[in-house]
Amino acid sequence: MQFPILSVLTIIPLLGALFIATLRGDEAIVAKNARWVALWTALITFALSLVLVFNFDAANAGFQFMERAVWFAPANIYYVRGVDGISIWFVAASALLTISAILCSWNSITTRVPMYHMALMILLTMMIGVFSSLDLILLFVFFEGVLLPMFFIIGIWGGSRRIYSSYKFFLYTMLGSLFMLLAMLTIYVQTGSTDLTALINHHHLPLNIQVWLFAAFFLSFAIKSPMWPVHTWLPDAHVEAPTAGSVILAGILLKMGGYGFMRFCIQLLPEASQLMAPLVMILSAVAIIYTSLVALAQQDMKKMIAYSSVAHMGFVTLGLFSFTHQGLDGAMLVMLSHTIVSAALFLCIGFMYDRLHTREITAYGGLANITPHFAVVMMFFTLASVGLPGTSGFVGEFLSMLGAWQTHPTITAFAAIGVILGAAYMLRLYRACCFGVPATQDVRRMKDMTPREWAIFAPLLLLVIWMGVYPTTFSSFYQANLQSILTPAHHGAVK
Amino acid sequence: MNPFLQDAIVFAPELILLVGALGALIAGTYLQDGYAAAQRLAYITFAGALIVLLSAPAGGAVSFGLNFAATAATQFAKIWVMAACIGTLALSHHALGRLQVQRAEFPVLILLSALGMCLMISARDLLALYVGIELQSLTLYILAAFVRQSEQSAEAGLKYFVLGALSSGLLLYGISLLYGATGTIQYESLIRFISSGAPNMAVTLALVFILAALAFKISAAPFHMWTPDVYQGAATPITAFFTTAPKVAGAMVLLQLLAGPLAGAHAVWAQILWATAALSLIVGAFAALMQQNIKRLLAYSTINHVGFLLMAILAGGQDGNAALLTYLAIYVVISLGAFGAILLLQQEGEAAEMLTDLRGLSKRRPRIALAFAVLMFALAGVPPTAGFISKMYVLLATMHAGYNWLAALGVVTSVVAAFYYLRVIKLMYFDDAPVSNVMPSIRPSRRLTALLFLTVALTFILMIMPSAIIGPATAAAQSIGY
Repeated sequence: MQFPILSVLTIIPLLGALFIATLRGDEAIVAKNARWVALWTALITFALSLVLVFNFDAANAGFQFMERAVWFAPANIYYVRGVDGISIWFVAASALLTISAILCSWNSITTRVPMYHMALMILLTMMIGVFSSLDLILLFVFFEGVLLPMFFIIGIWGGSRRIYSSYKFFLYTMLGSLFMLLAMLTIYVQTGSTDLTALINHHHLPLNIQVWLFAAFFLSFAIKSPMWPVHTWLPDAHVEAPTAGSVILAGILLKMGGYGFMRFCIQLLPEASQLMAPLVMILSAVAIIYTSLVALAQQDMKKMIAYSSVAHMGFVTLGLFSFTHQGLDGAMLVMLSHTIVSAALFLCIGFMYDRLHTREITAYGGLANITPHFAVVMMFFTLASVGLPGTSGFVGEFLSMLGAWQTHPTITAFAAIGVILGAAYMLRLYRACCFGVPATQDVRRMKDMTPREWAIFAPLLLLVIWMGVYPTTFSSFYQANLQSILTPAHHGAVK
Repeated sequence: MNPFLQDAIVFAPELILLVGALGALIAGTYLQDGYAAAQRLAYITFAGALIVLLSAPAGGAVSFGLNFAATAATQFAKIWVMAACIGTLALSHHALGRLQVQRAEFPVLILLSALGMCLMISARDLLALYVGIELQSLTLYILAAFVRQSEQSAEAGLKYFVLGALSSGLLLYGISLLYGATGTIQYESLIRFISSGAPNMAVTLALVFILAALAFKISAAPFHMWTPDVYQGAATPITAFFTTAPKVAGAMVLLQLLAGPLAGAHAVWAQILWATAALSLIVGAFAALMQQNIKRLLAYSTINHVGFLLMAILAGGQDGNAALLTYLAIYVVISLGAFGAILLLQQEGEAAEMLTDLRGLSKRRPRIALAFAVLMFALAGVPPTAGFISKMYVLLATMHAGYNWLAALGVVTSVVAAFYYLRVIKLMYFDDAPVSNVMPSIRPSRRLTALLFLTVALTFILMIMPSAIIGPATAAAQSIGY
């Protein structure tokens, strides 16, 4: 039997959490140990996920590293794990961003430190689980399981309106995911299977059922990704969450929505997705323009990045529902880029917040002189978010619009306005923070990057440039998958 | 073999309970420390009954004419009734001591009540069923009023008795109508009369009365009014008992009646059951939002869960029956755990009466708070807990049977219900304790801790290995119906 690498990947963080739970003794020492245990666990998980990446066969469009066991005997539900070129990157990214999350809360989280790191570890388990489960019910367990640690992270270590935000986050996403559960159960009732590989390859659902299923899945992922007009939980959750919470939320949790669209809407329900594509694309365009305008008006930096995330996810859905190779490719790249860039931008805000304890855009200024290293780092991520050629943001947005243009040029033209607006609000943010004169004396006393912070930003910086200059490294993994996704879909469209 | 002996073998668990109850009664009356003796005897009796149940072959044996049956399904249900009773005994020891009602009658009443439930579950004759239900109900009334010094407890007992008597009357009236219409009260012969042709008016009326009475017994809306008051008034371990064992017995009676003799009148009872299930789901979710008392909250939570039980009964078929049995078993585990957590808190000196008493609990009692949080998530049906497995299975069966809108309602009310479960978590984890809250002395209880640990462990184990419970439930479900 093959080494069950995916199960091991899932269990390691859980073991880390259990280990932290057993730590006893003086509070300060326990806190210190908890941080180190969490960090090492995340590092090991990340290293293992790199093993996964290096052993991946990009030419194979099927699922790899498959594991299968009986889970739910009388019903036909199995424990099936596996990754393809699409999900493998999210597994690695989950581990990477968890490392960033642990490092960025090294000094800023001071209360209930062991519990905090346990929550992060459990979160990591759940995230890896979501991206590597191939049984609908199993996937749902992880998908919903993500809510629990995040609920605690926002609710315990969040800001002043943390309770409202954590409730909103939990209930909003739970409502969406429970409709997804109903859809999954319908699939089971219809086909007698919840095995994603079998469903994709062997079963074909009639269109009238597909449309209902699409509605349920769409609601769930539209909330998760989030799309306008069900995005309202996101700004609240981001503003109140601690930096690490925002990093994971923007970096990984939103991608579950995009991943879900890809797997369940496009891949599993191709006809219904085609049918609904214009609606989704219009919603995406509205989201891009509307949330960009809203972002332009924000005074709170986190809120601004939160709205910009909605806009960026709009490019993902725009590309996905174009049903062209470029569009799907672009959507994937936007997601991967946004994983790194939004996480990094939240880390930048965390950097400033740790020093001045405010997220008001106007409270800073002149950082280019005061903390020059930081200003350079932030510039990279700002430009990547704007989509400057040479950074990761450009390739994805360009391809996604190129794909969308082929099928829906008018909608794409509107969406393109969002690119300009994106540049406007990001540059406004950067100008207010880094140029001009410092708003207060406190700003002048800000210290530049510490080695710990360099350690957080350096890998993200490297990835942003790598992805911008040579995206093929990443995109070559899923080309075969995209091809196989599009082939049946086109059959439906052409006839 | 001697026919009496043959009957006795089928009837063995009930006989053990009967002998145990009488023995405990005598021991409790004549021995010095009557309570301790009766309690020990009760444990032994339940263990004996459990062993007999677990070792007995699951054949569909019938005895006492055709009035009593022991099938795989009754066996399964009885095992969980026994589990609930043993759990209640373990929960009650310290609490009764605190309330100064460690009296020998308590174990005796639990034993008699368990006997009543077993009779209900196995009854294959409406009068036998009635006798079982009455034995169970009368002991429950006394248990509700068991804390004699407390006005609340007396009120709970009285309320329960008056309303319970009404529902028993309804049941008897329904039975007599059914007898009038068909001329029989035996399940076996009822099938022939009811499955032939469209149900006439008398059968329909009888059905309405019987269903209303049984809905009262399992506290399904709109017959749930007594539940919050009785739950709040009764002593906490007794509330735990009300939450678990009678629900198992009541749901089993309902299932066996509807899938058995009344299966022919499906068109009639399906509508009633649909409405009752939907109302229970809604009442259980929305009415709980405003509650301030933990036990009242759990009362409404029970009503919501009963909605899921009714959904499973309505779904019927192999899937629905297995889903019901699975749900009952997991529900017993989670509920015992939740009450165990409350009682452990009270044992350690916490008030744990109002929701606000839980404020800042995660700092004072991190482990109990964690266990309670897990159980709350399990009650809410959030994965990765066993509560998810049971809810999902019921939803699956409901959708399989084509009741898609009811399943959607179940999902929506689950989200509403999640709100109040989250509130418990919020109070424990997000809020800080008021300053005046002094650390009380700690009197830990090993048996409560063990029970709590066991239930929390099961909540996870049954999630990871659902087959451990679904397997036996499916096997048991095959014996339901004719």
